[in-house]
Amino acid sequence: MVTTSHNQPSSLSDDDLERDFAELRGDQPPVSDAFMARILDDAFTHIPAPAPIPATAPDMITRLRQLLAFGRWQSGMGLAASALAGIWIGYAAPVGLSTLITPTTPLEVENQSVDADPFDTFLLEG
Amino acid sequence: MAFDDTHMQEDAALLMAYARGDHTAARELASAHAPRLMALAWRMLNDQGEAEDVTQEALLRLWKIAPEWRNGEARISTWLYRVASNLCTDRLRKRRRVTPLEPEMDIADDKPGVVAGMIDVDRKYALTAALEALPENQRLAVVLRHLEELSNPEIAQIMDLSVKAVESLTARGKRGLKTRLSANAASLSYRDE
Repeated sequence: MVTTSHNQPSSLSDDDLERDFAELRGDQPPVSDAFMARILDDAFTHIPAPAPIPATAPDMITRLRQLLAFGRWQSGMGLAASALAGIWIGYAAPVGLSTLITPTTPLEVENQSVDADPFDTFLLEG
Repeated sequence: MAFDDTHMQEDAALLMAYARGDHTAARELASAHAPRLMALAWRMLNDQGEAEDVTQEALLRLWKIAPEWRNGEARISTWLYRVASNLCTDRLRKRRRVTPLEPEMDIADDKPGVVAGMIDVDRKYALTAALEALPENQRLAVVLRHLEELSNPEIAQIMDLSVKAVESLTARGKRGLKTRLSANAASLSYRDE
């Protein structure tokens, strides 16, 4: 009820006001494509960079390939030659080397050719 | 339409994704929040250009704070509303310093109030003008409660007030609106329902 019998205005009701709020709620300002593009431009300007994937140390084969790929074939050949030499030394001991090797482990001692016991020799020889 | 916990978790996940460099997350956040911020700013400032500036600035602050955002402390929507509200209030205070308060809008008596469409436009215009004449805090409380349809507790977080203070502001704001609108009730053709 807004007007009185004498046509004098009185206070608006809550219902009247709520009806007007409902009408105004439907009025939404547009968000234009151009404006959204400006918002996204800000977002992409300030977006943090993705975390880098941690690098793992390359193994010898990969490193060798890298050396060969970068044209440093001399270094690659040297590395390969060194590796092969190391393997050769480990598996095929050169002549004369065995004289430098003295048994130190129990197995080596057991496998060593055993000289006659000096005491036995004494007993045999008297 | 208030944001519920589902939206809160979705927003938090999107912001975390954005902080890890996800461009799609930025698009989703902007699409979700720009219209609501725009509506708030437009209702407070009644100017499209200024409303866009406030909306863009509020979202810019979100992009910048994203790497440091701590989940669970606040809703992103609440945080954005608070930033936008403060920006609007600052602009309104600057306006008052530059230009004096506008006199109350008078609806011309010769407006053709019998045409329903024009009456609706007049009433919306009258309500907009009446809102504009309210003190900033009352206007903000009324806009958030009755136009953005947020709950009083959420408004209290946005305005950094108690719920009781929000209820008081809203009540005073509505009384002010009714007084102003009643002065032009005859030409606005408010009728019995």
